[in-house]
Amino acid sequence: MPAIEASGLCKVYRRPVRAPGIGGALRQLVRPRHEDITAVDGVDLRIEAGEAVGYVGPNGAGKSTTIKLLTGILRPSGGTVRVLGRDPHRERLANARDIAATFGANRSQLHWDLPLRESLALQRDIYGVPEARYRENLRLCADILGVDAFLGAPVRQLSQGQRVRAELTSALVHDPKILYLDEPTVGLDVAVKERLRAFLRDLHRGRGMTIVLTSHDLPDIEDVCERLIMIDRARILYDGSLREVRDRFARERVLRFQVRRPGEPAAEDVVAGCGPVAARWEGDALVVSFDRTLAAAAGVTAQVLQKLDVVDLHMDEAGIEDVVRRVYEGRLDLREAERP
Amino acid sequence: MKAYAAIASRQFQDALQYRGNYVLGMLSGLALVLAMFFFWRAGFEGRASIAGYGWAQTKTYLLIGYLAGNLVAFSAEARLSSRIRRGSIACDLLLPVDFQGARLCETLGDVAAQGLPALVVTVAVGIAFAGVLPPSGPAAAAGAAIALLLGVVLKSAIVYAAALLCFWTTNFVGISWARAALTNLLSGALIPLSFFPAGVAAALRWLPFAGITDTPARIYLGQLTGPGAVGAVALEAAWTVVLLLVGRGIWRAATAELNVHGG
Repeated sequence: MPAIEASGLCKVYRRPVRAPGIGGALRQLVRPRHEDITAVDGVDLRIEAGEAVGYVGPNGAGKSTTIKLLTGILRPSGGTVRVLGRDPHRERLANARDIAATFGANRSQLHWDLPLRESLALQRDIYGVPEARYRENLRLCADILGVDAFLGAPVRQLSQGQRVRAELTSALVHDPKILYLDEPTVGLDVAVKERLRAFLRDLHRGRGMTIVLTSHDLPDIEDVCERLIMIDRARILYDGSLREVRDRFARERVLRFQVRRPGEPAAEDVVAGCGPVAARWEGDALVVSFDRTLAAAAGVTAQVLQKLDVVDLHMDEAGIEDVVRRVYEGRLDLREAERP
Repeated sequence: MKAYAAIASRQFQDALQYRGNYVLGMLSGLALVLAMFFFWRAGFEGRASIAGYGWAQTKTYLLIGYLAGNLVAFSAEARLSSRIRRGSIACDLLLPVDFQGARLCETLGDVAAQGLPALVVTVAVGIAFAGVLPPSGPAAAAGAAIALLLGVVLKSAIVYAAALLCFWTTNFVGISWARAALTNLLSGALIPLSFFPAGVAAALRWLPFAGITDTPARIYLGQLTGPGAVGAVALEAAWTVVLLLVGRGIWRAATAELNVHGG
C-alpha cells in the first residue's frame, strides 16, 4: 500500500468577482457574482512509505492546496485521495494521528501567549504520547534544532527562526508517519536553514519518515529529497527522480578564468582541441562553458593555464534551480525532452 | 477525553496569563451591572413592584442574569472567527480532536478561569453590600448552579453556530452584534422576561435564550421550584442538544466548501 495515493485530484474555489469602485461594490451587494478558480486540476500521485518528495512550483501553482487536500483539511472537488489507506477528509481524526504538517509562519499550532513548553505539552496530551517517548522526541529536537534554549519563552517572543524550529518540534511530538512541510525555510538565515535540512535528512534516512516538502528554495529539496514533482498552473509538469533531472538537464558547467592580460588570443583559440566547449571574453575573464558529460573541467583548466597568465579561477555548476527556472520560463519541457 | 481536558486546561492558563487583562475582564462586567442598577432603580422610583417583582428581586434577577449571560465571554466568538478569517483553522484541523468539542472545552476553560470567579465574587459582594438577595434555599442554589452551567454550554453552542457563519460572510462584527443583541434581549439579561406582556413572556420562555439567564435567575429567586424548575431545565437541556447539532450541521456544510484564506 502506498503512503499517499491520489488520482484525478481536483480542487475548485469560488471567488467573488467585483467590478472596480463604488458601483462595483453596490452591484456585488445586490447580485453577487462568482468565478471558479481551479487550484488543483487532475493531479495523480503515488508516494511510497519512506520516500522524500520535493513539491515545487511558482506562487499560486497549487502546492499548498495539494498539501491541504492530502492532510484532509480541504475536501476535494473531484478525484480521490488515500493516505495510508484512508480518506483524509472523511476520516480526518484517524488520519490526523498519523500525519503532521507545518504551514509556515502565520499558521501556527502554538499558543501565542504561553511558554513554548506548554504548547508542546498540549500536543503530548492531545495525542496521548507517553511521557518517556515525549521526552525522547524533545531531546532529539533539542540536540539538533536547539529548541531547549527557548522552551520557557512565550511563543510571541520567539524570533522567526526559533518559531520555525518550534513548529517543527511540535509537529514531531506524536511520531507522525508522514510529515508535510509547506515552505519550511522561508525567512530563515543560512545557518538555521542548514540545521533544518540536516534534521530533515536525519528524519528521512534515519527514521524512515515519509516527507513531502514544498519550497521555493530548491537547495532545500536537493538536500532532503530524492524525488521531484513540479507543478504549474494546477497541473503536474514533471514527476521523477531528482538525480535524473540533474543528470539530464543540469549538465552545464561554467569556468571563469581571471587573467592578467585579457582580450587575446581569441577565445576559441585558447580552448581549441578541448572538445565541445564554448568560450568568450567577458571583461578581464575568459568564460568557458561546456556540458560536463562531454568535456572534463580538468582538461579544460590544464590547457587554459598553459596558454594564459591566470590570476584566479572560479567554477559554477548548473543546479536543479536552473532547470526549474527554464521549465517555468517555458524554455524546457521535461516531458518533451524525455521522448527519444 | 484526556485531549479535551488538556485543551480546557490550556485555555484556563491562557486566561490567567495576563493579570491586567484578567482584572479588567472582571471589572468591565461590573461597570455595566452598575449602569443597569441605576437605570432600574429610577424605574422603581415611587412604586413597590413591577410585574410582581420588588426592587430587591429585580436587582438580584438582573445581577444573576447579566453575569450568567456574561460567563461565555465575547472572546470566545472573536477567537473562533479570527481563526476562520486568518486561516489558522487549517492548523486546528490537523489535530485529532473534534472541532466543536475542542472549542467547547476552550470556552469551559475560560469560564472556569474568569467567568465563574467573577460571578461568585460579584454576587457575594452584592449580597453583603447592595441588598442583593441570597438564594431562596439550598435546593434553589443547587438548581441555579445546574441551570447556569447548562446555560454556559447552551450559549457556547449559539456562539459557535453564529461564528461559523464567518465562513460565508468573512466578516464577524455584524454577526456578533446581531447575535449579542438578540441573546441579551431575549434571554432576560436586559429586561426580566416577566416584565414583558404575559403572552410574550411565555413565548420567550419556550425559546432557547431563556435558558441562559431567565431560568437560572428565577430558580435562584425561588420563583421556579419543583416540577416547574425541572421542566425549565429539561427544556434548556433539549435546546442545548438541538443547538449543538445545528452547529455540527453548519460545520459540515462549511468544511465541505471550506476555502482556507491565503491558499
